[in-house]
Amino acid sequence: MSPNQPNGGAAAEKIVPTFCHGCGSYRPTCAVLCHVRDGRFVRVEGAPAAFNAGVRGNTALCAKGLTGPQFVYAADRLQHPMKRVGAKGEGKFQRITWDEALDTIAEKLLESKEKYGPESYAVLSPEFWPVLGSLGRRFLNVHGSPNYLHSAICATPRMAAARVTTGYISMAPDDWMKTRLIVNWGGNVENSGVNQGAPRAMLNALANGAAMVDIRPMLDPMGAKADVWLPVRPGTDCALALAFLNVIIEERLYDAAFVAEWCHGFDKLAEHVAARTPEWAAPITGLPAERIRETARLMGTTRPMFVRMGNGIGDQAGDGTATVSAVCLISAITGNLDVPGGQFAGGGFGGSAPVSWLDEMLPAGMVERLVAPEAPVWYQTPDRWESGPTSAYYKALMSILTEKPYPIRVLNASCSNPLSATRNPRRVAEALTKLDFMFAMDIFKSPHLDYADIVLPACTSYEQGDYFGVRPTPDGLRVAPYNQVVEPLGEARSDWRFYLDLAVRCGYGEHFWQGDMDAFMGEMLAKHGVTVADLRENPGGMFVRPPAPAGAPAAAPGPSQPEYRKYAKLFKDLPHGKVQCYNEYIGGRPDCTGTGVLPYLPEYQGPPEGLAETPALAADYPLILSDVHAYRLAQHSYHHDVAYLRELQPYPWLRMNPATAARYGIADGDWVRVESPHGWSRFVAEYFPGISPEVLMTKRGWWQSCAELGLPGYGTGDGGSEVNNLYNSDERHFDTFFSQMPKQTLVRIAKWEEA
Amino acid sequence: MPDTFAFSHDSQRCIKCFTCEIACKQWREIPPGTFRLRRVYEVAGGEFPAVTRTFHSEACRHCPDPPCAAACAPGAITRDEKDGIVRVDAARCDGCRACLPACPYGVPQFGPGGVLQLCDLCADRLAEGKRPMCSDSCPTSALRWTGPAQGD
Ligand code: SF4
Ligand code: SF4
Ligand code: SF4
Ligand code: SF4
Repeated sequence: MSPNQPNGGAAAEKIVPTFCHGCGSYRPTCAVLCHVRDGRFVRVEGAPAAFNAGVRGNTALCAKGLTGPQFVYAADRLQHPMKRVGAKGEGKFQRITWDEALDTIAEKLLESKEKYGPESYAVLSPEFWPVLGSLGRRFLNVHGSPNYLHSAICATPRMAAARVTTGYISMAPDDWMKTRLIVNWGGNVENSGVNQGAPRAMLNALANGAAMVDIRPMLDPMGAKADVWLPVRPGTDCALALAFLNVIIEERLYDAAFVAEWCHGFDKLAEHVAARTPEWAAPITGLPAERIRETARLMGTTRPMFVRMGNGIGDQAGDGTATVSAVCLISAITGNLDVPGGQFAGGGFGGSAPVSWLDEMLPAGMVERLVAPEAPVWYQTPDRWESGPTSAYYKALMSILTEKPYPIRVLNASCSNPLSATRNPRRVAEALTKLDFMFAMDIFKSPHLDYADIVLPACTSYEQGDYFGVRPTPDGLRVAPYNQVVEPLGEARSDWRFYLDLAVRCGYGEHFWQGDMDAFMGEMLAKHGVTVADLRENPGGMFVRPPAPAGAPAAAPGPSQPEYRKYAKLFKDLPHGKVQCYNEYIGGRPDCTGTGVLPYLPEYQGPPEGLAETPALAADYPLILSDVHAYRLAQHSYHHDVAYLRELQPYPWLRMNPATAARYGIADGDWVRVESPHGWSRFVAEYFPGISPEVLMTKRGWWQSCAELGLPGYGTGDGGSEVNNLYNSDERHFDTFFSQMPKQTLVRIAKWEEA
Repeated sequence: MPDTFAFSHDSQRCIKCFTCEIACKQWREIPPGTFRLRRVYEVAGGEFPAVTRTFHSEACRHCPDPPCAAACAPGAITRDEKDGIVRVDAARCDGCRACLPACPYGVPQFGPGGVLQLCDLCADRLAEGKRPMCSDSCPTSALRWTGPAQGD
């Protein structure tokens, strides 16, 4: 065997099917086959039987998914429960037993409940995480606290803005082959869930002759294939959307019949956008007016059109709700709602919770006691919420410092690093320092753990068998277990186990199957007609048909024609049963802060610091800075410890146009000091022609070191490499409907040399 | 057996996701920070906003008449007539790197001891009736195996 073949051959390997951990814990999206040699997880491949990305026989994964073994054996894994023995932030810990850890947490939780009320306990929500979406929420309800601290980022703010405008949000057309125009607006498809189907589907549509518009500050890979690339200035998408509406209405490109029958307040909208011409939007967005006009015409005249909104718009701008509403209205008035190849209604997010959250156990009046309602309290009712009531992550952390309306006292900060997941890490660190008690369960040594009182080691998805994945396929519903690939490292445990154990210690055992994992799993599985024994007997998964209703013949196999134009149903919760061009659903009602009222029409607000918005400031800080929400070689701020991924992005990168770099005497690969009115951080210049010379883009979260490559992690405060250190975190700039925080600022840059 | 084994790579479908590159590395357990048998790269052109980006994924093409072999004085590179795979005899390679400029695709990479490392088309997988790891892992099917459909 040549040195090209260092592997020992597949014969000596045990193959264990399970699900990838790359897109986050317990998110059974891509099924994998894990190869184990001598008790060690050594390599991984896609599982052909699992319909990954909905494709029969698909063995594709993505860069992250293929680094499963390196993820498991990374040097910065937590392996033992610990208690803090030094000052907060100092990072001195002592190893303790699981029993001591669990007893301490239970004791503090009950003590704080007794002294300050149950709402003094809050839990940080990371990216969507089934553990929190099931047991975590149930625990909050049984304990009595509403304070699930959601990021105010991601899909829910977008979904809410769409829900109050057009009744629903569409995540994909019914059939991409029917779509004639794709508008990818802030959608980071080649970076987020790469193997979950979106890039493949869009490429198929392009090959089928569809046109594409890509609206993002950087020319990303899909943008490079688009017919039109609009490099909008970060944070000005709302102005662009209003200008599109202006042209489409002005030039009568809308679907007059749909508007007449299904739109409420169209004339008021028309009047509102009359002055929002492309010429008005051009100096705000940095795009030529003619380019805006041409694109609006393309969007107004090409049907069916599918507009895919992503994390780039709506959820990280202070006018995010207005932006999403305006984009939804473009789809609506052009007649693209729920038509073949357009904004199909169906599928969508989530589905029902795997087990009941026991909402009825949340004491009455607790929604009103949310420490910092993410959305207005009146909006937070069971028919509308995705995961139960929510407080906004950043604002709730600030309550610890301001004590308004009351301070959170006990915080569960698991699987989310608040020094990188939200704005202003310096203020967040102050808040964590002031907490009465903080505990956190994580896989890796995240910097926020230095502020915890108790730290618990979580295992990866490859080290446990406490969950399962369910996916509809042409062969029936596929139900497959997570199988333990290798023994947990050290004393790491699954977070499912942790929640059950903690609940029992708090005296909540009767609501948590007395800590019996199989009983809990059995309840989750029951609705699919599967038992835990079935699951264990079928480690490679099983196909079950949905049980036919009693007396009815089993459903005929094969795809059925979807139902379109379900308008009466889709708009049933909207005032007048119509699309809200003039929004009477939210307009005039209290905003999320409880101090103002919401607007009736989408209005441009823009970033708190911008070239057009704050020209005086721009004289001193002449460049725009923003960051990508997702990047294909990392999952949020994790995966930088994985050598195969880190060698492809070794340093905290800052993409800049070579012309900009030349102006400041910065060479490709130089460290750059980036200073905003709020702080300074340093990044490494990466020449990139596909970005405006007035814009810089980076990625957040560079705290992880990579021992294998000898590369350090970087701090989150001044002089570190955390972009959240640079943004404006004044809550007055946050969206007043769903608390979205702006992530655009102005900066000045200079070459940075190590002192 | 056909003359050549090859992949087809469609730049129009490639999204520079690095999956194929890492698929290869991890399957072959190549130590990080060393060499790559498959390499993803791009060619960018133009000036903002009229910028083009084209994405590529390159590994040894197992040329029918390999120019690298012709340039290799110690005779370390040979094409196996039976299976069409261009292989390296590690004992013969003296690390002179003459193969590098000879290869029209810039493929040669050098591993421990300066020895040339080449893709072997995942001979272990082919022997098991599977296709190569890199193309099997591509999320967009930009990279496709066009060799014999073993295991299909
Ligand atoms: S898209 Fe990639 S990281 Fe996400 S689950 Fe699939 S293989 Fe894993
Ligand atoms: S190394 Fe280059 S020249 Fe040699 S066989 Fe491979 S592709 Fe051809
Ligand atoms: S065929 Fe195998 S060895 Fe060759 S590049 Fe692909 S994965 Fe690597
Ligand atoms: S895996 Fe496919 S899409 Fe990704 S870089 Fe390789 S060839 Fe391109």
